[in-house]
This record gives sequence, structure tokens and C-alpha cells, in this order.
Amino acid sequence: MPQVSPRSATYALAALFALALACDLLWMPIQVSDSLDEILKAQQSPSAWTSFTDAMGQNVYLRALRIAQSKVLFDLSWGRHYWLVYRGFHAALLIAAIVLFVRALRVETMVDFGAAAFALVVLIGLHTFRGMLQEAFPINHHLEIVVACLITINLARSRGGLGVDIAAALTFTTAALTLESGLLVWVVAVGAWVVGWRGISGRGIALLTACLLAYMVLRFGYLSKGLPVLTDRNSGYLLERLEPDQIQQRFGAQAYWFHAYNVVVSATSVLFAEPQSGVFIAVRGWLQRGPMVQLLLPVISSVLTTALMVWIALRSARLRAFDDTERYFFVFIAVLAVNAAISYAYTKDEIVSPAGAFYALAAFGAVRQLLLVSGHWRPRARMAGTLLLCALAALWTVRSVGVHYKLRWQATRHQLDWVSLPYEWQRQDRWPSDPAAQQLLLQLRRTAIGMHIPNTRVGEPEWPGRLWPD
Amino acid sequence: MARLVDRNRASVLIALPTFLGAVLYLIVVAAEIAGGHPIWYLEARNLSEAVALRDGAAAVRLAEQKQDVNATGEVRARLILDDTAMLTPIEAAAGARDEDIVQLLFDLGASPDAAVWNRAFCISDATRVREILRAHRPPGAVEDCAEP
Repeated sequence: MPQVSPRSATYALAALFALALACDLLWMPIQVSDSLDEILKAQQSPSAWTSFTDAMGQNVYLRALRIAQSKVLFDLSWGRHYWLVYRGFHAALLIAAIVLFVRALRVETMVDFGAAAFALVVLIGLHTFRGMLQEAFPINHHLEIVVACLITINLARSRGGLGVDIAAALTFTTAALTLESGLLVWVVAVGAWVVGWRGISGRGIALLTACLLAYMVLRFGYLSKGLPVLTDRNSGYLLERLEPDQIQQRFGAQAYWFHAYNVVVSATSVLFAEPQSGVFIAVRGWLQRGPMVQLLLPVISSVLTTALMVWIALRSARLRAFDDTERYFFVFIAVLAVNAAISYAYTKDEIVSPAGAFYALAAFGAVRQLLLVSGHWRPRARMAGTLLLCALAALWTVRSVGVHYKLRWQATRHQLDWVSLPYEWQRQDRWPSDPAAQQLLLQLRRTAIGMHIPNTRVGEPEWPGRLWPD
Repeated sequence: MARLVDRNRASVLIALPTFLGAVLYLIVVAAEIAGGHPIWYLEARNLSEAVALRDGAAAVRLAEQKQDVNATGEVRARLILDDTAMLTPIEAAAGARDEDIVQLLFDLGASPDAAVWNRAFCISDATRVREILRAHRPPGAVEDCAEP
């Protein structure tokens, strides 16, 4: 009987999750909020280049490729297959992220396989991962940045060469012109180079640094774009979400305090699953005497996993060991620090999704190391350690499977937005006068309403809503 | 015991929850694509049930198939009332206490007579639902919810 290699088994496991998640994503209408306006703009734009150049001069952000991508996908829809192209692209990105994640693990042994299986549920179960699936504008650019960061770590772990250096520079340029968090590609490349993963050579790092400087000159010099201000977005703070005017009122004179809060909680969110989007939801649930089990599930699993990483890191420091486990830790800490710093303006789980992906890579290193170390323990201790890891993997699996409930719930919401859209827009005098735009809206609505999506709104059964609360 | 927990066996054991989770997830998604979600399987049999289930998309689909938005339909027990009941869509939507669905029915052309309007008004105690109903009050309808 042919034996399945640990690497093949890992890819097979990842394929099961990727396929299920991709189906969930495909079986979801294009969303209305934050998305429909972009599609209507894409329809009006004569070309992707025009979309790109127009976006260069607009507002405080430099996200020209974000707009141009929407236009490219719109044109690829051939005036008919909008849902298939936009949602298909989202699903393809998701599959790419999972494949790149597994590839970055370099699974060779059974121990690697066990650790990779654990890391996979950490990746999918972490709340930052959900932000890459639930929404799209109409492309989920946070997911694109995660893919770019994972491409970079794979390039860094490759054999290298001129092509790798050029690919890294192209990845950086694409990511940086899509979202600000695209700058993390540089952090990943430099972090990997420092720890000894030098597939991207010193020459490549210099090229990436030149691209970073060019970005700074373009953004702050040539285009004179500033930085986001307090009143740009709503944001979580302690136990509530604050609207922009509330943020201005409360922190207008002491913005640095609000910025510091955002940086710190963005980091703790990845490490401890609390707060989420700036709000301490478990603490709030406890104060409101709500059911705690489901609120504590993410916190307990994250705290235990982070504690495991800290223990392994301290042990390595004591033994002065430095192998791939410590390399994963170092790159994760670098990405987390910069990702949290980028989140200074407002907190959103999606923004720290690259740090979330690298947290899962670090979890792989920690579990792998524990499995190797436990080989020298007494049988009883080894058994206890294995059972504890197994229980922790089960907690993360519960979090991962909950993504299905969240995505079905979100699909129902998107569909309902389409149901009332023409009537709402006509009442608000927003219905476009352009016949082509009208036709596009009606076509998108027809596709959305035509989907038979399971009805999560009746509240029956109750347990999914209890187990995976919002 | 030492053999039971050698590294390879421990690795397989740790991978087990992930494997089970992935298989379960895939089965649920496959069942959904095949047309029967194992968790959320309630489907509307008529327009009144669609709004009772707060399923706006199903309501629109049925209305587009020329189902009368004013006709009564059978609504299964415990969706709105304890027993199976014959309700108009407006009554069912008001019973579901969902103002968006009530508004949707008016947008789809619902025009309840005074008796239906009164029953819908009294079946729901949701403020927003009652506001929307008041905005579409037919001639002769009164807000009288006193028990006979």
C-alpha cells in the first residue's frame, strides 16, 4: 500500500478546509455596503489605468491599485458574470493563502505534520482570519496583503536568485499600492533575512528598501498625502465602539493616548483574542453577566497558545538554541510590532490579519518544538502534554468550524441588503438615472436574490448563535 | 505507555481534531450545495411562511412567481403562533416583528384591507412595525386591539 508522506497529508488536510471555505465564499452574494459604489465606479471608468491614475490623487490614502483591481475584475466579468468573477477571485485568494501558508511550513516529518495541523486551525480559527472572509470591497484587500506576506516568506525560504529578488520587489509594490499594511511585505523580507532565511538576497533587500523609500517620497512628497486623522473612522475603545465625533470629543486634545491604545490592543488582540476590534467583549460579557463559555473559548485557546510560544521561546533563549522555531518567532514579533503600529489610527481585526497569519506560523514552530522536546520526557508527562495539545487543537477546531456559521450569517445579511435596495434607494433619491447603472444594479440584485441561502435568521437552532456569538 | 505517546503517534493525535473539523465542515457545505443544509433546513412553503421566516429573498422570489402578496397562506406551528394558522403575508411579517420585511411587502404591492391591517397591527407590539403599518393604514382601519 503506498504510504502518504507527511507533506502530502498536510496539503490534503489544508485542501479539505480550503475547499469548504471557498464554497462558503462562492455561495455568498456580492455585498452592498462598501462594495456596490466601487462596482458602479468601475462601470463608469473607461479603463483600469484611468481608475489607477484617478485614485492616485484622491483622499489621504494611497490605494490606487485597490481601485484599479476592481476595474480589472469588472471588465473580466464581460457584463454578465460579476458574482462569479468577484466571489471567484475572493475564493481563489483564500485558497492561495492556505496553500502558501502550508508551503511556508516546509513539512517533512510526522512531527511537522502534527504541528502543521495545529497551525492550520490556528490560522483559520483566529478572529483576524474571519475579517478576510466576511467582507469584500468588492475584493478583500486584507486577504491580498496576507497573500503578499506569505508569498514573501516563501520567497525568503527559497533557493534565491535574481528572479526571486524581482518577484519580492513586485510583491511589495503591488501590496503597498493596495493598502498601507502592504508595507509589511518589507518587514517580512527584512525579518526573514535577519534570521538567516536569505532566499531574498542582500541585493533584493536593497531593492525592496529602495521601493519603500520611493513609496514614502511618492506618498508624502510628490502626492502630499498626509496620515489618517481621528475623525476618519469609528473605532473600539474599552467596552464600546466610538463614532468619529465621539472620538474627537474624547481624545481631540490627547490623540496620542488614543493612538497608543490602538497600537497596544491591536497587538494583544492577536496574542490573546481580546479585545476584538478594540472592544473588550469578554470583559463586557462578564460585566453584563452574559454567558461566558463562548466568550472565553477564544481567549482561553489564544492565551494557552501564546503561553506555549513564550515558554518555548524562553527555553530556547536559555539553551541559546536558534533554529526554524526561533526564526518563526522572530519574524512573527517583527510583523506583529509593525502591524500594530500601522493600526494606530483605528482598530479593526482585519488590519492585523497579517500578524494573525504569522501568529499561526509561530504556533507551528512552538508545537513542533514541544513535540520534539517531549520525546525526552517521562511517559506520563509526555502523555499529559499530548492530551493538552490535543485539547487545545480541539478548541481551535471549534473556532475554525464557526467560520461556516459566520459566513452563512453574513451571506443572509448581504442578500437582505439586495432585497430592499431598489426601494430604499428610490426613497432616498439615490437610484441612478443612467440606464446602464440601473441595469447593472438589477442584474446584481437578481443574482443575489436567486441564491438559495440557508436561513440563519429564524434563530433556530439556537446553539450556533450561542457557540459563536458576534 | 511510552509507545502510545511516541512522537509520531502524538502528532497524529494532535492532527485528529483538525481532520475531524475539516471533514465535518466539508460535509456541511456539501449538504448545503446539494440542497439541504443539516442545521438551517427550514424553507418557506408559501409567501406567508417566507416572511414569517424573515426570508426577504424567498419572499421576492415567490412574489416574482406571481404569488399574491395579499393572499393567506398556511404558516406552520411555532413560526408565529403556537398552532398552524392561515395568515396573510402582512400578518405573518408583523408577527415576526420585522419592520424591514413589513416594509418590503408594501414595496411589493401589499394592500391589506381594514380587517387584515387591524390583525397585523395587533399581532405585533414592535414600535417600528406599527409605525410602518400606520403609514399604510387603509380607510376604515382602527387601532383597536381589545380582546372581544
